[in-house]
Amino acid sequence: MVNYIFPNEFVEWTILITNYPFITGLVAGSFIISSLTYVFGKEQFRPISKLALLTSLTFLLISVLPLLAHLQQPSRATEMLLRPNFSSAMAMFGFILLGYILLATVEALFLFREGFVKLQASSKGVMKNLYRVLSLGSVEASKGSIERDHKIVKTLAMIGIPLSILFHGYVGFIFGAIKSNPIWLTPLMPVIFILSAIVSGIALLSFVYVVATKLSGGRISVDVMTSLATYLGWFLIIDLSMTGLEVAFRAYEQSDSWYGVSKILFDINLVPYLGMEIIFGGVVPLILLAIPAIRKSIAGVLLISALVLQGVHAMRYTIIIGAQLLSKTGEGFLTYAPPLFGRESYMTTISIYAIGFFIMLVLLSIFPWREIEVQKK
Amino acid sequence: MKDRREFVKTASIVVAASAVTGLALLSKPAFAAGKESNRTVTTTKGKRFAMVVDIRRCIGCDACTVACKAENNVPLGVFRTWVEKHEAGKYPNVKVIMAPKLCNQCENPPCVPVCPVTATFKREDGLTLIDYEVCIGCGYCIQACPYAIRYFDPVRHVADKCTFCVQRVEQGLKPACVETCVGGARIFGDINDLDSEVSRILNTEPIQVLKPDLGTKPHNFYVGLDSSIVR
Repeated sequence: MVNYIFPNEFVEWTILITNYPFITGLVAGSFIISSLTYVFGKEQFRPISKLALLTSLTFLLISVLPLLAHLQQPSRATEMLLRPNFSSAMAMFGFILLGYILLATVEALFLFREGFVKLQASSKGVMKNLYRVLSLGSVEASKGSIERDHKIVKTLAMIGIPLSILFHGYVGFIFGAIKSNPIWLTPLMPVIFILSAIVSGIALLSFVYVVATKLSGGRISVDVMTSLATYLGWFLIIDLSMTGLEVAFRAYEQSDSWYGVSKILFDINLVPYLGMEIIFGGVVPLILLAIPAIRKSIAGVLLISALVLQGVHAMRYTIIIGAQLLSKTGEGFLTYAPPLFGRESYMTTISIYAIGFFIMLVLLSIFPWREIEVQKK
Repeated sequence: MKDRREFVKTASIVVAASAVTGLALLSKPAFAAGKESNRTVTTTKGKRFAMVVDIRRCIGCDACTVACKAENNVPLGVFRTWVEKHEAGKYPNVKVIMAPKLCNQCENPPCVPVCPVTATFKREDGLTLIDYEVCIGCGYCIQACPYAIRYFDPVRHVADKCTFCVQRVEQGLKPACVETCVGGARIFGDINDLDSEVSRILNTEPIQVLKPDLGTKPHNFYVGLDSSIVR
């Protein structure tokens, strides 16, 4: 039977859903980097740990947008919280998201409280009132109160690590536990999602760090960039190993779904999978990381980060769109091309990121994220 | 200190007030959904509906597809039932394989546990149905159905599928496809009733289901299904 597909088969989870796990990956990854300083005392990340938390918060706030735009009945979205089905992996989303937003916001408020108090004293008018609200009415910046803040931040960061893993891991679970699609059906799915999340979070941070420092007229530290690159390398190796393992298992197992899976991965979706994800998003960045001159230059780290980010995005594309191209007959293949305009289009996706960057700019201009800045004042 | 205490007090009152108002506004749809129709029905109590498709009697006329479309007002481009026709063999020894498809009304339906808002539910009489006033249109059930039976209704913007014509069955009628089938290939009934036609066939004929390895336990059984169509 040639290209045998069922009449009701369409790619229902589109480009928007591709970007949802990409965004939550950025959230989880950057949160974990910020926690490295506050929980594990990794001092090399201190200059960017506040920035990392703000990045995480920004993407957290927009993470729900692609989902809302995709829902056929967006006005009923709150039903997820009001009548959740506890057997559904998706129903957990609302609670994990709410908990996470609450935690990240509270952590940010305590982390920046000292800065807010100082800014409150030095600013006037509207900004003074804004900083007063942000510091929760506190005007105290004694040593004792700052130490208390640090303790709270450490505790929240500690709780935040498993929560961020849960926040992103459940996305992998949503796909990994669906038996109707052989590409999704693997217990490795949440693991691969979490690892690629950390990788993408680190890669994004190097960009955010460079842009934010440039915009605020500061000096970019090569040490920070190299530390980021080193962590990126380690996580990339584990991520690539897991991705490789998953395919190796399937190829060796030779189950009846292998025909469809291999056809998607190595033929129909070859460019996003092998080209963009594995070679340009994994192997090439690793080779570049092995060269000290590139690893220790700002432009080099940015290049590696760009490659890694597009690779992780391609991985999301393969998992979500690629997997849906395989018909439930196992013998036919669908086609999909996202439209330029419309509800589930490139334009909507770009708009969501534009909102994200706008939120980021607002947060960066309000929050005293630079260590030196606070010390000067 | 007093200044701060006052600030916290005012702030908490504002937050609490907005939270209460917000919740009150949000919970409105949940109360409205209290009139959930047909989750429990008394007319079909003690029954377990199933269908047998005797492919040896199917002539591939598509009358079932048309009757279903008319009865259930199924929009263009999507189907609640269809008849696949596959050509097989080598000339001069050839055959046409018929495969009528519809919701399998699984005993263990993969579409039900995944629904984040319990809009999809399985009734005691075996029918898996959708509450169209609750469905948020996330598409998780469509992904979870291994048979690609579910679809997004392009008019109502909710998930939909074959219901065994629940509106007819509840009144003691047969589903539209069964009623219209010219060869009598579709047989519908209650498997808890041992005297029913479906029970007789299930107990005396060799039967098959689609994708049995997935553990969904379909209640749409086939007689004479070609081994190339187990999907």
